[in-house]
Amino acid sequence: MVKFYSNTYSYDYNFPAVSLAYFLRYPNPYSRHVASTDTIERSFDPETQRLTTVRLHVKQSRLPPAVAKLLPKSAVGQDQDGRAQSFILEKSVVDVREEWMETESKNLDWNNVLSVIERHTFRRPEEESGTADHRTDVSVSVTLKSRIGEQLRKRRQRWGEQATATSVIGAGGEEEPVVKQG
Amino acid sequence: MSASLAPECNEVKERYDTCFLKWYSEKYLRNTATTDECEPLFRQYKTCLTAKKALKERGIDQMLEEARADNKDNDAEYMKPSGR
Repeated sequence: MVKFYSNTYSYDYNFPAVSLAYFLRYPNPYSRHVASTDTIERSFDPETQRLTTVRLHVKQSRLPPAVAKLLPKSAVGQDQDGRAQSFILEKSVVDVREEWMETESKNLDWNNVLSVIERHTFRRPEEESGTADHRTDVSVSVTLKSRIGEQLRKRRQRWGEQATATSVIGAGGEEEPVVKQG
Repeated sequence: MSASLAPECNEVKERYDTCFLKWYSEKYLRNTATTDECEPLFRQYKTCLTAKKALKERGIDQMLEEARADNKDNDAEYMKPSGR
């Protein structure tokens, strides 16, 4: 099961300011749930002037009690207050010459329940618009994928196939058309 | 400055982050960077994370491995020709 969301936006700051702000975005008073940020890989290519960074964020999250009850304690790994940690892996590539930055963030745990992949592309606007020195365009896309949903869909599909095989004898082996989602 | 997930590495992380931000804003963003000057500090910081088994203890190294393996699976599943 896949859901997709995308959006575009333009910041009132030039590209260097936006790319610096991206690296400095935690800690901030609006994201108190982000407990730590560590750089785990970083490489700079002098030839292309590209900078690649992999960072790991740890977030404290509080589950809705109803959801916490449904999941086994071992899967949640939360403490008494119902607080659970989750890990986010963020990869970014900055090209200062061409003035673009691409980022991808995804959750490392909880993947069986829901995996979220968030991509940002920051870009200097086209020259002719005359705003390139004080604006940065950004496009955001988020892909939500649930493996639980996928399992259910696969099972439903199998039932469908079995049902056709037994009830419609001599149907020429035609498979049930699979409804594609996403 | 943001904290490290391993509190014992906070100090070396802060030294590295300070160095990186200075290099990033004063050299990299001005297109005058020739090398990553903070690499020695980064190595110290990374050594702290691995020596203290900060990533291992929290099971993160395994999750990283799984994330990489999962990507391969997904690529195989979604990149194959759909036959339509």
